[in-house]
Amino acid sequence: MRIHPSPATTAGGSCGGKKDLRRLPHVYSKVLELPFPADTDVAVFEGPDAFHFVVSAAAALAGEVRVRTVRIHPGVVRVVVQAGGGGVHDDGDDDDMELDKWRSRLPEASCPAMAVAGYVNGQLVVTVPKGRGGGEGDNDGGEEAWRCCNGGKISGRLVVVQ
Amino acid sequence: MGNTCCVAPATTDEVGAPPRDHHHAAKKSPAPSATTTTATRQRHGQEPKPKPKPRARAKPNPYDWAPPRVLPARGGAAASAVRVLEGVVPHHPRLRVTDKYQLGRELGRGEFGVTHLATDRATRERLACKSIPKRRLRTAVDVADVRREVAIMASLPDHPALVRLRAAYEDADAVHLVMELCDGGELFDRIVARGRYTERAAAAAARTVAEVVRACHAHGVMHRDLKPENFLYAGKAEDAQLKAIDFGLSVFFRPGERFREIVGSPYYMAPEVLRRDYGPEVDIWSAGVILYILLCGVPPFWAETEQGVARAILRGAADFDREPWPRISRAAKSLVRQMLDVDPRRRPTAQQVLDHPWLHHAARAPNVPLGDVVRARLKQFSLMNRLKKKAMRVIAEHLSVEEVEVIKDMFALMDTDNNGRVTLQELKDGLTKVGSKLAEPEMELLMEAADVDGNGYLDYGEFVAVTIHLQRLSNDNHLRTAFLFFDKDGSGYIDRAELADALADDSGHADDAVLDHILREVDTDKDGRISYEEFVAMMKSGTDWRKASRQYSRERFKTLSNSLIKDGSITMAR
Repeated sequence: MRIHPSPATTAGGSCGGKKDLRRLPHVYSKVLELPFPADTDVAVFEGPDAFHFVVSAAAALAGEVRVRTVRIHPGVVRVVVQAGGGGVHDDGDDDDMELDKWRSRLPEASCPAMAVAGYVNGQLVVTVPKGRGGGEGDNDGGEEAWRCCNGGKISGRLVVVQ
Repeated sequence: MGNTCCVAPATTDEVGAPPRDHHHAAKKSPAPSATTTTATRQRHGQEPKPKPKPRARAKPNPYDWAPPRVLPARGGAAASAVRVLEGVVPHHPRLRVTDKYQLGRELGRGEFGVTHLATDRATRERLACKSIPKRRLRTAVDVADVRREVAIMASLPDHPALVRLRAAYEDADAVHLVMELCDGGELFDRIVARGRYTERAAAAAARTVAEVVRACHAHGVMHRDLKPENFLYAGKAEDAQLKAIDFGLSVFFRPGERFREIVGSPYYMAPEVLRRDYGPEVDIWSAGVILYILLCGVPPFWAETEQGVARAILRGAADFDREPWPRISRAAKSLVRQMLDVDPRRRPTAQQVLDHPWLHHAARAPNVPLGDVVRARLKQFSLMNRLKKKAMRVIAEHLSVEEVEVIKDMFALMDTDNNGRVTLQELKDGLTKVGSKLAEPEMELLMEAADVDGNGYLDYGEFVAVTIHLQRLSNDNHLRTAFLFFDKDGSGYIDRAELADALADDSGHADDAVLDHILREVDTDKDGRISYEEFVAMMKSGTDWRKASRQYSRERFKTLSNSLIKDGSITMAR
């Protein structure tokens, strides 16, 4: 289970008084988080085998994108799409519970651990496959960071979901 | 008006159906609506780019993606297909929310929508309209949540602690919920502003929260998202009605039914939710977290990350040792512990919470935050020079409404004959009434220390000054305000003349010896005036034990002198 480094603004473990009471986003068992403000326009399409989240070219960021799976608790998974350069752990951790971020609850039938992200015709597309049995897809596989090519189709890698 | 009448019967019929069937229906019907909704959005937003490509059917690749083909057909069928509230409220194709209500300024912004002031065009009644854009309803689950929220709000009874849904509308872009207006701000904001509540104020808020839980559970509704952000005050008054406003994650339940869906908010979520096996007792846990926060200002289960918060919740070990918990009453702690029992079977019901002695006799809960630290601070206060005490009174005039409320209550509690002054006997009776641990000599010390003009009574200003010192409410903003009060000419210094002005008594005279004493003590750089830094140092300094004896003697001498003068005055009158 990942342990995120503590933000510098607050001392770890000790209570800093009023600062500790903050507004935080909701908790769901499966959440997709994109690196955009909460009110960004994202189109959602449901296909027979997957959900597709599409961000228009104007809003999408340039550069490489990665998909990171954050396990909050067994049964609680957040898929975080990160954009731009920098280390894997640098840019996402600081705002771990930031409120103004685009998030969507994912249906129980989805397998967030198998999500991939990439650019198709200049649009950022995040694909979250559906699972067959509706079990906890987050238990499959590790915390891989999926990498995709720019500007082309998502890799044709075929994953058998059981 | 007519529309409002139509809404209630329809939703009542909806509630008449068994909750399980309703839940089942909600799961089925939203799916096509969601798909069509997003398809419609796509059609508006961008050009479809179909990419026909032959591929073996036996091995479909879920990662291949192309925009789906959109049916060109439009019309009534398509319009009805995108309706989120199908079956929840009656459909009027041409009725718009703005026909009946004039939408005004933005009142707030939440995770799913924006709330505006809504004025009834006919009656001019002010309401609130929460608009949920359909583009924020990303999946079938989101659609089901909105449908259920509307059905639940329509099914709940009229209750002072529940915000009332007046009407629901839907157009091509959004769902609009017209509700009672609550413009007194969130419970969250008041908690952050106050830091923590007195027991009496905490009990009043907790009673409302428990009443909300009781009313919901009695009507087969589990809230699942109780938190201070979801409670609004109906008005700005200190005693305004507190109301629950958001049922976005609520669900109908039947006795004994178990749920496994993980929904909630960090800090407030019950441990059994994370274990995916829970019932309505989760709301009691959330209410217990809210009560813990009201009494001490910080959440009981806290960490830097969501993982840490989840682990803290599962451990369920709330801290009752850290300040201020030792000074909180046994009854209050007992109730919080019961509500935060990790075993949901041992948790009290909402009615049992309401019947708990601490909450049942809420009006008797202590509203005076006196404690063991009082003695030390009283002694410190008696040794203060008069400028510092005067500054305390200036600060008092700039306290926020919430800060003044507690002090006002204390004064009113002690001023039993309501003449605006507190005698020593009234002070003793009042302190005893609130369960103060002060002994009589200490009460006399309190009277002597606070009675700046030495007339044998505490007026309200004197009472506030000593209370501020006991509570250490001073902060930098208050200090700056107080300093500017004394620095009449704005030179950045308090000179001797300004000091004499500030400390003049009713006869308009300030004792030269007192002025000399204060300047000698406060004017550390000996330039004959008091700078802001010297002022702050004075205000924040504690007792200098080397001076304690001498200063205390001076204060006693002054008091004795006043008494002698009074005796002399009495003699002369005879």
